[in-house]
Amino acid sequence: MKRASLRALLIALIPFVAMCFSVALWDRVGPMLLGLPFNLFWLISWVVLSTLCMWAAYRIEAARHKKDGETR
Amino acid sequence: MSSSGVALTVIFAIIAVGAGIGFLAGAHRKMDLEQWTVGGRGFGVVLVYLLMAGEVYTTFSFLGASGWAYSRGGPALYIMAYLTLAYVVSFFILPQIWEEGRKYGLQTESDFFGRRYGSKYLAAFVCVVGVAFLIPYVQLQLTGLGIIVEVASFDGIRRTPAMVIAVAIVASFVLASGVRAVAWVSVLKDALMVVAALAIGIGVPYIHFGGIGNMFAALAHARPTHLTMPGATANLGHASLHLHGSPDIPGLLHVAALIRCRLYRQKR
Repeated sequence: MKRASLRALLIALIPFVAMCFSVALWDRVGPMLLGLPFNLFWLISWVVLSTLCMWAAYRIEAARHKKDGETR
Repeated sequence: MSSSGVALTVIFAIIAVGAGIGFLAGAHRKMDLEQWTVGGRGFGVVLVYLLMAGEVYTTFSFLGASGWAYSRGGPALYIMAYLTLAYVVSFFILPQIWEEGRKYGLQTESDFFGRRYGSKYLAAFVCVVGVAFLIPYVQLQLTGLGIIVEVASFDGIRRTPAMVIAVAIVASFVLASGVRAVAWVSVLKDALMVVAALAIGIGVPYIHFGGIGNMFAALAHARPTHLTMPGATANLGHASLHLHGSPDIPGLLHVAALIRCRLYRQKR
């Protein structure tokens, strides 16, 4: 079983930075977007954006496995 | 019919359908241990997806999370972050567990640790720890279930009978059908959860405030600090909540145990 590539790991780090290590930057009520406080809107957006990040990470990993002739 | 009568009818209908699905899930299948624990490693992608969704939504989602958001406000937002990030981590860990599980015919977490580290003592230790931590977890879930049924039935079913009935039904269909029962009941549960989330999340704000935006505006006006994280330690506080906020570790272990069924099998 091979290790994940650095590129995939870096992409996976994006959701951590956005949701966990930057709280002071987005933790406020205004501006309200779609009727939601800004911090709630930010987190909901990142639930979706994290999915996109992981899709990108999956594409990278899948391409690597294919190149190495693995069946997965 | 009185509101209590309507509620009781709905509750019993859901229990009957759920139990029916649970028992039928394992019918017409030869039940050996591999079938019982990991569904014979034959689950499709959709079922694994629904099972994983069903695993993370517990009574905590309905009682704990909403209660916490009500009493503490902003910090409850961590729930959205930690669940999402748990899946980000899972992306790198679970496929390897799955692969090893499939290759060596592993069925439980302790099988995995025993195989990975070549120690039957570690396997036994993981087993004991797993069971020991599941007991308070199940206790908590059942208490939550009792409260929900008692409130939802307008006191028609008391807490203790609700818990006894639930344990009897769940234990018997899981005993009969194993993980298949859990997976198929998750399908029903997920559907009901979505209905409940939409009804409460959209219905309540519209009925009481005339819209979600109006509700948050009223809340921000009445309690300005309630919607954000508290104080200057926000950043660290939030981060440490992520690290400690792991009430779903047993749930994640379950997901880990189940995902090896065949997450990527479709591509073979």
